[in-house]
Amino acid sequence: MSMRGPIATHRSATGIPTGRLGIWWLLASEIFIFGGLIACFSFLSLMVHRGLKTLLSRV
Amino acid sequence: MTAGAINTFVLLTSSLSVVLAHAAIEKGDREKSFKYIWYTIGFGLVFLIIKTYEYTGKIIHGHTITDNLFWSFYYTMTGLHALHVIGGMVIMALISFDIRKGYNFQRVELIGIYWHFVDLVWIFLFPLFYIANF
Repeated sequence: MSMRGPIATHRSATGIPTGRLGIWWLLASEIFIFGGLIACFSFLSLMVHRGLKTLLSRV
Repeated sequence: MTAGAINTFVLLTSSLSVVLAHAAIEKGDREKSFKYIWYTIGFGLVFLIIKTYEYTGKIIHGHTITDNLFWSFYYTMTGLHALHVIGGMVIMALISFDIRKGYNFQRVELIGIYWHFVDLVWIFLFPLFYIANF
């Protein structure tokens, strides 16, 4: 592996290379984004199936 | 359904090519790694072309983002996923030129992790929007 480049690429304060820690940190945030959307979609779909559509149309 | 299934195959194959790029750079073979990274970018491009074809067909049939709950989430989530594919392709292109010059080899592994994640997201989206079809 090349040791040139920004200091963050070859310095490790946690025992995990900083670059790798960074990418996992990014992916953790992505899991929340996609996970949140999937959860919302699943929940709303179930609610529609259980008659929320009818309930909302009366409001 | 067919386009989604083909796209699943394309993305899984692209994950294989990014693994081969990582394996090549671990052995110090820069040219081979460069080649496999560009194969991955190519697979990403095929994915986007099929996605565009699929979107066009759906819009022509009157299914737009404002149609109903299903189509709102379909376009939002597959669109967001496609943006991640585009982002990954751009970053991979930048990394490929870096490694050809002989530096930042560790980034092949990092973009590989990201690409596997993008693939994994699709593995969730495919059954949700193409198979289950609430």
